[in-house]
Formats: sequence, structure tokens, C-alpha cells
Amino acid sequence: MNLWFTYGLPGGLLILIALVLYGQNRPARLPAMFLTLSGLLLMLIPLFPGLEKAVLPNKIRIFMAGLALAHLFITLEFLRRNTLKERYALLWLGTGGILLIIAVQPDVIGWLVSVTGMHYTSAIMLVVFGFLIMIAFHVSLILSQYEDDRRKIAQHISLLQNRIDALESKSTAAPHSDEPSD
Amino acid sequence: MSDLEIHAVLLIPAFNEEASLPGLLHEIRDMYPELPIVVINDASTDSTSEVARAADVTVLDLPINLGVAGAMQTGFRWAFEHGFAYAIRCDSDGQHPPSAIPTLVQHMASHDVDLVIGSRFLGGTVLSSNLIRRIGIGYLGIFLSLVCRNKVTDPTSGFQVVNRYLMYYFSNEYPEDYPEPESLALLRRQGYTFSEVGVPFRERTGGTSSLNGVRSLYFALKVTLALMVDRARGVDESYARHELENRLI
Repeated sequence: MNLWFTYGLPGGLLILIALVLYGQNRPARLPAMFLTLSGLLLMLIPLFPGLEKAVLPNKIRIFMAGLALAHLFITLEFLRRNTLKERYALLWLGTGGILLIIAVQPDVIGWLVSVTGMHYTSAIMLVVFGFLIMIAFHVSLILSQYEDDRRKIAQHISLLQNRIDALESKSTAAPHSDEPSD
Repeated sequence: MSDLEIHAVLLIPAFNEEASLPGLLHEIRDMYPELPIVVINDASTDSTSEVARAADVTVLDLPINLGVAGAMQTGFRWAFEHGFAYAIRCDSDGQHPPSAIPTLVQHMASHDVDLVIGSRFLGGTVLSSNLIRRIGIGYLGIFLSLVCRNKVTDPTSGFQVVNRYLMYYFSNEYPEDYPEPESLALLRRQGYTFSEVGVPFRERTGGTSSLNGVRSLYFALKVTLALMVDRARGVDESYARHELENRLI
């Protein structure tokens, strides 16, 4: 019963989400298949309790790998749909890539673990946190630049509008103008 | 006086000032019939633009709200492009008495400075009774005086006159948010000069001060940081007087 609660329930939820994805107008087939597969794998554990022994020591890694794959997939999908620019996607892809590498090859983070004395999971969180800080800072830089551009454009528009107004009033005031003046 | 009206332009930044603007514009028109007036409408949501146009002044309509700094910068650029020798800045809430405009311009000529501030405190106005506000402005005056090595009694006054050098400089580089104190420090750093002259301010006819209570503390803090960051930046030689002398005048 306990196994059904820890593995079966999340597995069922994943399959449920996959069904929702299938049922959409434009079905997202690839992520739905990915979710179905993960859900079925999770369901296998309560059916064959012997499997849990193989999973237990690597639970975090498997969880991380799934998360990293989902993250990478979402980023790439947004890139493909042209709703995210490559320039801003690089750091996100970096975050997903590092997460995946750590999940597959935990020795990579062993050095950080030995230096800081942190646990494996805390070390991962530190790496992810570092990336998120970089991303947030990157966004602030872009935002500042855009605010500057926005200000210049607005000022330019108002000055151009003023020149148009002046030209129009000049041309309506001219004697040979056949434009109806308002 | 006619000399002033030929070479000077009055810049009035306005955001939702339909109530106070017509009276002010008519007052100025009566006093100085030939003085060009430019209202910079900072994307007002009321009929500020219409009432200004009805008073037959030049109106610069900003499509989005930029704040007083962005609006003033637009005005400085317009004034510079139209070849004016002086740009006078005056708030639209009626605090700044138009009758003091000649005093400011004459002070600039007689003291040979690049910017003149109309100071309400030299003009006899007593500092507001709000303690936090008093501390904020008082502290800023002292700090700014030290940074500029030039006495500043009214660091937040927007009643100012600038010459062509600063019109050009400010139309390219003007601080955001609360531009008045920081712009003084910036112009000093570029080698320009300023001076204050006492002007009795009036009661504002519309709106309230943007600097009340805690806002004035934030203001003091923000400006302090900006002033220190400015010190850490290099001086931009391309705006130095000797660089601009041949190009501008």
C-alpha cells in the first residue's frame, strides 16, 4: 500500500497530465509520451516491489534527470516556436544541461561537495541557485537597456510630432494650399 | 526684457495638469507676450495637451509617461535644436512665480554661470513642518554642497535656467527619477558651474509634492547612491566646455 502511495500516485498523476496533453487541439505528443513513459515506469515499482531496491539509492538522481529533461524540452520547444530568443535561452539551456550532467554523472559535483561540506542535494541547489542569479541579473541588464531605448524612442516621437505639426500649420497657412484647413 | 524673450524659451513639464496649466500659461503670456513657451505633456490622461494647445503654446506630446526627467530632457533637446540661448524650466503647479524669470536670467549673466537655481529658502520660504521631509532635504543640501563644492540650499528646486552647453549636455545625459540634485553634481563634474538666487515660491495651485514622508527618505537615499556612483564614473570629455565651444555657439 505504501509503495502505491509513494510511486503509484505520482505515476498516475503523470499519466493523467499526459492524457490532458493528448486531448488538446494541438496535442503535445512528445512531452505526453515522455510523461506516459515516466508514469508507467513509476507504476511498475509497486507491481514489482523488488525494483525499489534498485531505485532507492538513486532516487534523487532519477528525479533530477526527469526535471532536467523536462526543463530542456520546454526551453527548446519555446525556441522552436520563436517565442524565446536564442540570446536569452543560452543560460536556461546551461542550467538544464548542468542539471542533467549532475544527474547522470554525480562525480562532477563531488568536488563542490568536498570543498563546501554540503550534501549532494544542497550542492545541486547551490549550482542551480547560481544559474538563477545569473539569469535574473541578465534580465535586469536587458531591462535597463530597453528602458533607455524606450525613453529615446518616446522623446524622438514627440519631437517628430512637433515638426509635423509645424509643417502642417505652415502648409495650411500658405496661400496656394488647396488642402482644406480644419 | 525683450532680449530675454528673443533668446530664451520656457519649458514646462506637465503631467495631468489641466486644472492649473491654463491659468499659469495666461499669466506668463500677459507678462512676456513674446517668450516662447513649450509644454512637455508627459502622456497625461487628462486634457493637459488640449488646454495647452488652446493657449497657443508649443506642445510636445510624449506617447508614454517618462517621468519629469524624461520630459525635461525632451524639452532641453527641443530648445537646443531650435537654437535658444537659455532654457528656463518652470513647474506647472504654479509654485514658481513667472515674475522671477528675469531675475534668474540676469543672475546667470552677471555671475557667469551655466545654471541658475531659484531657491525658495534663499527667497524666504520656511521649510515644511514635516520633520522627515525636513531632514531629507536638509541632509541632501549639505551632502550636495560638499560634493559640488558649491553651496546648495534648495537641492530639489525645479525652477532653473540653463545655457546652451548644459542644454546639449542634459539632452544627452540627464539623470532619471529625481534629476534636480544629481544633475547639479553631474554638471559640476563636467566642469560647469551653477549658482542660486532667492525666489519666493508660491503655494501650489494643483497636485501635491511627490516628496512626502517616507518618500523623501527614499529620495535622499537614492540620490546619495546616485551621487556616489557618479563619482565612480569617469568624466566624459566629449561634453567638456572646450569640446563644445566650437561646435555649439
